Amino acid sequence: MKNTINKSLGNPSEWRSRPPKPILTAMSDIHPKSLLAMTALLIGTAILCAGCSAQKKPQQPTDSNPVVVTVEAVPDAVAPGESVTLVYRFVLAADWHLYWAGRNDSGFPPLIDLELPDGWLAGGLQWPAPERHVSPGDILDHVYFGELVLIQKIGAPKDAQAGRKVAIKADVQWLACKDMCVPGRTGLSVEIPVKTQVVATEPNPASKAAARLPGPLPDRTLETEWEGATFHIHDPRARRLIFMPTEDCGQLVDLLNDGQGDRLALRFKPRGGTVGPVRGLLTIENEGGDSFTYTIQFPATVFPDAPSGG
Amino acid sequence: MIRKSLAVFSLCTILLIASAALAGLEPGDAAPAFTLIDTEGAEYSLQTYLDDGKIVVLEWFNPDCPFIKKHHLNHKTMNETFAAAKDEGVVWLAINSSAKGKEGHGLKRNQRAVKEYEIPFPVLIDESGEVGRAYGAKTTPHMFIINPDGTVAYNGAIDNDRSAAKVGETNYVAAALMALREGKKIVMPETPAYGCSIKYEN
Repeated sequence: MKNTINKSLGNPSEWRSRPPKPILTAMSDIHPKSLLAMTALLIGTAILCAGCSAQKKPQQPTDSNPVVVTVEAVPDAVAPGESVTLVYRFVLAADWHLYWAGRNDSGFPPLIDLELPDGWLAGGLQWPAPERHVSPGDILDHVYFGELVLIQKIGAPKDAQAGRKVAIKADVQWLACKDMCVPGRTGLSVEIPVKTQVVATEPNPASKAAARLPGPLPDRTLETEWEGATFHIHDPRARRLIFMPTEDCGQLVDLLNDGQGDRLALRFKPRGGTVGPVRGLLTIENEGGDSFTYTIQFPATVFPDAPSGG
Repeated sequence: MIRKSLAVFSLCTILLIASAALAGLEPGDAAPAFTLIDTEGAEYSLQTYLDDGKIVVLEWFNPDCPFIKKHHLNHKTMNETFAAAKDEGVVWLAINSSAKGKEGHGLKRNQRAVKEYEIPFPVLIDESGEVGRAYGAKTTPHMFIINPDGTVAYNGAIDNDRSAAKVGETNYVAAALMALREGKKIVMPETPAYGCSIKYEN
């Protein structure tokens, strides 16, 4: 299959680019315990691997170093004018979680800054569906346990020279929490050879991750209706519905008490004469117990502001 | 080499985002009364300050939270914001709602933090979480400003950078205190608080 960059990466005007940033206070961002553990691990690995084969054993996350991040390019080479996918894999120690890039009461989602050669372009990060996580005090977050795989398209320029290797560097920062929160940061790099012809095999880690991304709601009987400032969602075949708002969703009143069984009644706060829009992910748990998460979008509706003063 | 940002989380959208669950107290709502003991054993009551016509700032606190360290250790946001307002009679109370056995709990830990972070205001202990829950406080730091008439003037974040590393360009609390001083309307009376979740009792 042939992909042009434009097709695979979307509208170039939506791509983000920023001028060089000053290096952040890298040391202060790393938890002292993590630093200690990382040093110990490095020394340990050096001792263990003295004289051993070149085979790399992946690091295992632990309570003192709860997140291990790796990156790979899929396919492992790129043709001029074509794209590759970077697959970032965050492996978490038991009970630790990372945060989704949608709306949360606490925490902070992983942040990735890429360093790309001139002419190369990056698309946005693509996030799998998180799970709802409620902590004591009605603190509502959307998080990932176990493993988080993010994918991102990288486009090579048409004049990329075949036969050369390109290095892409990623500065990755995250906040991992369990009964405590620990920030982490690591620098990753991946080398991508430019070849005139690249054959991708399927399935691969990128296609597997892409298959797990939430997609648009397929044709099914989802009944929706605005009633004042409340947006009703009803799916007669669902056992449970969970709505997870993205950053561009209208402000909600109380998401935790907005649904029961096959019905959701999302109460919005009117702003500037409108309520909504409804934007986010909808997890539908079917009668059989299996659940699927979809992206949903419904436009804002007119709603007169409450009279002020009074 | 050109540095290209892959921002996962666009900082530009910060002004527009809201908290996930429930806003809790809204500006204009009555601030719940409380009396708590600080790390030195002194008693503090909100009503006492209101009776004296003071503006009171509440800061939810946990000495071991990375976001608290950002504003108390790596930067001095809280001390500086307080310093700029205290001559006007503004009172600042930090409240720790960490439950027994959870992160940031314990008298000794908090006494040490007051010294280490050079905190110039009292740190009150709310280990039952009663006061935190009454305010709907969710994160450390979660900030409230209380008017002398006992109503909530501001509920939200200290500033507009939700990361654990950088300080935001806009300090919402400083801006709100200045508006109150000048008798103006607070432009942003409600923002999404950010930080670690408060480690309440289960």
